[in-house]
Amino acid sequence: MKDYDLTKKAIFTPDPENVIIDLKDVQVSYGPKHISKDVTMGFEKNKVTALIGASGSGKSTLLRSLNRLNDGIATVEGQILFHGQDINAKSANVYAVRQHIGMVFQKPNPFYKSVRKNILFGLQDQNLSRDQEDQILEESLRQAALWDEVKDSLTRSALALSGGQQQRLCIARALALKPEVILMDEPTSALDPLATAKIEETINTLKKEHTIIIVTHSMQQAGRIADNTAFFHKGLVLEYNHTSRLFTNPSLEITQDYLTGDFG
Amino acid sequence: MKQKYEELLGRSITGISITIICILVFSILYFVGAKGISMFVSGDGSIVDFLTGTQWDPGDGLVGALPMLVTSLMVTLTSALIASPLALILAIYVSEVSESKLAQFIQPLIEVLVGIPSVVYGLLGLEVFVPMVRNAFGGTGFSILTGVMVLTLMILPTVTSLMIDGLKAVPKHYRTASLALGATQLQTINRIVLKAARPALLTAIIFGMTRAFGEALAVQMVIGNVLVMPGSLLSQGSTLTSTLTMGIGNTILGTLPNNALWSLALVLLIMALFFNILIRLVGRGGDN
Repeated sequence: MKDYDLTKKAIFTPDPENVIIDLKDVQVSYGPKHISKDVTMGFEKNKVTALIGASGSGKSTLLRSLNRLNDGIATVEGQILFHGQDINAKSANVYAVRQHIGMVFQKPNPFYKSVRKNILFGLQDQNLSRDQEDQILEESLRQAALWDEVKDSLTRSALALSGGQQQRLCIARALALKPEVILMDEPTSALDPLATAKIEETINTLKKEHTIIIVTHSMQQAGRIADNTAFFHKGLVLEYNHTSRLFTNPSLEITQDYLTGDFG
Repeated sequence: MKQKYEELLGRSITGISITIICILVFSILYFVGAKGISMFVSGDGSIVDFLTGTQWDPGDGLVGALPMLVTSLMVTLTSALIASPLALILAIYVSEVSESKLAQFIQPLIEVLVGIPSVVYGLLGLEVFVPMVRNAFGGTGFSILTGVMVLTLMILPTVTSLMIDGLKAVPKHYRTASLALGATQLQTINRIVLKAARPALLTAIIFGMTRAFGEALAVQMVIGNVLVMPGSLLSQGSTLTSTLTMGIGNTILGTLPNNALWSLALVLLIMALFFNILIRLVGRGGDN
């Protein structure tokens, strides 16, 4: 592998008006292992931002820091500003943060409960009436493009659904809390191309009302769905720009080489 | 050809082993079964007297086993009732509060306790619990309560250890999914982990009860061995197993006192089978 100059970065600064999550010098480490280094970047509201880079480049670790899922696992330093408030501060209400910033994981992980109970899991403490619950149930499932397939089997176990349906159920489950931001950690890596296409379609409609930050290993996927793309290498974010710009005319040699498959 | 030979050898060895085990199990069932019903078949004692009578003196033809049955069930259920919640709390601590150094230290410790012979627990009961009960409630200190205390202590490590395994078998991604939806750790344990692990937790409790029901020695050392219907937890008593171990050496094969003890053994065997079937049924509940 060539020697690259890792001090050179090309990070674009979005219009502060449109920034919903702003990272300032974020460091993540597992004990002595420093995973994410000096990450400073802003995520735009109602846009899809893709995080790409080779395995072990720190994308997923950074993503999990955005809703405090690294609590008790890794140490996260620096500021993570959500609407200007530091959610990485000790005083931040972790549970509220997670309701505003939802997450969908690599492997579909529905609970071994009915479809209905899965969707409503995060709302148990809100004392909703049956009608309100039904409404949220239908709304979330429609947003995740799953309603037509499961509307007659809402009481059946979620584990009876196909892998692609399970993943859309997990998206719907996150949507039920009406989060502003949805984090997705390689949400289609366990799915076949058809199911992947459906999820990507869903992501495209979701960005009207939500901000989506997605980690993906597929550059084609980033190209298809992301408005902005950030390239990670060894824990550093090296280049961040509009997807069209980054893919056609990257500023750094290392990004160029990664995109053309010269390494990684 | 070598593969074929190896395949044949493997099949033969497993086949022979299975046959031997089957023969053994069925011999035991047949032997205990035949000896156990001989008292009823010969007409020396009636099955109704055996199950409902309260007088046990086979030398005089009295074969009422009800007091022992009641005492056995009493010590089993009470000790399970005390041990299960304690075991659950310990298991949750060890499996869910994983960052704690103490938790990593507790599990191996519990596993060591599982292996301690029951006579040691009996001695402990004799030296510690008997005086404790005597000081607290008067009397000799030998009582069903003392037996319960010893059994609780004895089954606690077993039940805890099985519960830890059950909780740890719940996939990690269930917990992460729940936390990501804004649930607290307590809510996650309560709504996700405990529900997913329920069959395993119940199995652990039943397994503990099996052990408590079958334990003879430790109980016999502290329970007083008086063959009367227990009036309360503080009365002395005698369980099925303790009556068996006390009496079997003092009877002559083929006589009524001996056959009556075999009937007790048959009851124990049936209870063991019952607990086993229960564990299987409960364990199967997890698939749904």
